[in-house]
Amino acid sequence: MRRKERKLLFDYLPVFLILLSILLSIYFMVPKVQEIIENSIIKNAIVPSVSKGLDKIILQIEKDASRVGLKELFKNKKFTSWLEDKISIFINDDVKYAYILYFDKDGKIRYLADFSKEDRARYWQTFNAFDSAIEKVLKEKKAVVIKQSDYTGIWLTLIKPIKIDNQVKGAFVIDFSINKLQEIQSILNRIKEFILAVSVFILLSIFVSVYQFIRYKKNLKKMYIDPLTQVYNRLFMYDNMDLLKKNYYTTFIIDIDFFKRINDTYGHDVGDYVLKEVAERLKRCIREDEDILVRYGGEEFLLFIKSNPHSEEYRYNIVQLANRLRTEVSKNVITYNNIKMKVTISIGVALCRENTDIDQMIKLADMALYRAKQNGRNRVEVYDKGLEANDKGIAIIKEAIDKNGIVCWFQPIYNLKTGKAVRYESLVRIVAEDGKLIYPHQFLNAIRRTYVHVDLTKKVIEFNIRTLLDNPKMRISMNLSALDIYNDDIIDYLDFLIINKKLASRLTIEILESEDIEDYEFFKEKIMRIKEIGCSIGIDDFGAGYSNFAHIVELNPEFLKIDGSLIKDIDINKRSIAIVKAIKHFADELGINVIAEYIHSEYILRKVLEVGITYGQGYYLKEPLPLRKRKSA
Amino acid sequence: MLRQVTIFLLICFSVAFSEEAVKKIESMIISRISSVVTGKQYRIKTYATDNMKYIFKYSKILIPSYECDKADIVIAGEQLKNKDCEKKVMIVTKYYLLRNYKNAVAAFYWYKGRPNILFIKERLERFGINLPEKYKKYTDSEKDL
Repeated sequence: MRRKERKLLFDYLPVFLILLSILLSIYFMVPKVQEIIENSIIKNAIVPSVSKGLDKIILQIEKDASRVGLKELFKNKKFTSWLEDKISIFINDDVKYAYILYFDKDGKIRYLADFSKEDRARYWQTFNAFDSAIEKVLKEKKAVVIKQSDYTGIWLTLIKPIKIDNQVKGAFVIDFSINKLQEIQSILNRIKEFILAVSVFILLSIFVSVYQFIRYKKNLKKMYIDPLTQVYNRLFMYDNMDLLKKNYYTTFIIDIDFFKRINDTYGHDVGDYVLKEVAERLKRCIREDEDILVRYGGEEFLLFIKSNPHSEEYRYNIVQLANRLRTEVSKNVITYNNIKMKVTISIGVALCRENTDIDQMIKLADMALYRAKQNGRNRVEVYDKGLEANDKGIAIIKEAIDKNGIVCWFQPIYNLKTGKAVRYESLVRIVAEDGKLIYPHQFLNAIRRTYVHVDLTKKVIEFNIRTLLDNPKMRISMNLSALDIYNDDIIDYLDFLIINKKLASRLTIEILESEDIEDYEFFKEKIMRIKEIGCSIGIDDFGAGYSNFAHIVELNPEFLKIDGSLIKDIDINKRSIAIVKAIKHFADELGINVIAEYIHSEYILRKVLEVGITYGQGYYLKEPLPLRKRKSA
Repeated sequence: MLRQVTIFLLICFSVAFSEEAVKKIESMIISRISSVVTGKQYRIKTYATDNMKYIFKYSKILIPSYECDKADIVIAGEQLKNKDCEKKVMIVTKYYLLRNYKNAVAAFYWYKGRPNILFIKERLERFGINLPEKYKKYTDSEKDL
């Protein structure tokens, strides 16, 4: 990810550099542009405006002077008066001084006539200024235009030679006022100011953009990092799917074994510390710049390892890494406030596959993780062909959902004292296209945490509601997992289908007690929602998980259904009898009914009755059947 | 507001800077002319009119003198208040002063935006001043004023 950020910044860098170079170019070009504009104005506007008129006058002077001599010509008042009239035509406000100079034999320069409005010189007055331009005119015998220094108050001087017998005897000099230049400079300054303002605006924009970019990066980091473990969160994963697609990644799902037990035993502070420590230990085994560690769920981590699937040792290396991760977490106990905990992890691995999206890879890894847990935890399982069969099973389930192949069979729950069925537990079955029945244990694991599971649950809800509508006296008990209850989509659907409270009162939701209940407060909110709909709550498989009795009480269930594993050997296992009795006692104290499931023999039935349990179900009493068959039976 | 203040300061600074520079150059030229006229290379006692006092700030060879009779030279940039000063060798900084004061042997003045130097041949001779060769091109006759 760091590499990605660097790359992003690197992508922006040329834009900043181009903008900066444009600004620098503008900055350096302005004086040059100013000079070009000034020269253009001089060449095309200022000089031509007087030059043509001046040329005609100079021709006349040269003509007359060739007869009487230049010095003598200007003694003639009539001539100078005529000259002044002529010159006044083209002398405008831009002209500050206009005068005629005479170069005598001694090299002295004197005024012959001066038509200036101010500083007017007298005839024959010495012109002793330091003006190298005059020397240039004498030498080159051509008109010269020179720019004057600012302090002179003159912008330009135009010097046109007056030639007699091809000798430069004098010069007509026009000094242009600096006012014109100041006007031009004022316009150019405005342009310069405008460019400056634009440049400042662009610069500010760049600064603001860079600032926003940095802030965005900081926020992005906050947004994408799980505050507890300091690893990436789910959002990061979803927002960076493209990055994951571009490269080969091997997907790991890592689950902390018995984490719920840690939380329940030692409290959330300890649980949080364990999560942090496990994340830290996992990070030690991976490459910071290459691999991506994501906190996927409560105690679940997703790990994407950048891999080369074409390498001969690919599978071997991945399994080695997974075992290294497992060992790294478990080799040292985690100590928090003198509490020492031996923490282990289970890892499911999905190896790189062509044309498989990330979601699918996660599902495959999840299936492998599930098998790792089933096989005793603290182990690594790689998704393989055996699991692939399950994967194919998903397709069959999808098809069944699409083609209404989802059915529910019903097993009665009896009042063992009266022998009357008080409700029916709804049990899902899939009818495959070939007519074969598929039982839950054959497909539920494969579709866990998939949309197929959600769709299946919705179909089951539909089926049960329809059955309740068709059978107004029937009461149904339907199983939902904690994940189903967390899913608003499913609960909204239930709410939508239940048309009235009376119908709702005939439906009980049996919650499968499991480790998926991470946050009881949140879970309780969801249960309250179901109760508001009007359904009652039952706890299924009670005694099999890691029940916190206090939490169970808070859910205020209508009944507890004792797990089948305890009932099935109640006849031979004293421990089972003791647990069942304890549950019964606990339930009686709280006024909760107890149901014994898995009653598969008369002896078991007798034992159940001995313990004082009133309600029961099982193959001995009645097997699950489709409703049609049950009615006829 | 900030922009206006900045522009104002820039204008003041550039004007002040250019005026100071011009005064410095003027002082250097006048010092050089004074040296030529008096024949002294340093410590030239100089009486200057009020508008020319600034030359002492920049000149290394001109020393201010508050009385004309003790001065080696008079620098006049305006009409002299003391008639006695007119008797001294003078350098003027206005063309019309050159015509007014018969003892003004040299002038340095701005005319049509350009600096002009002028030495009056007859007056230099009257005071027995010999100009170095390189200044001779700036001499002119009294009758051509």
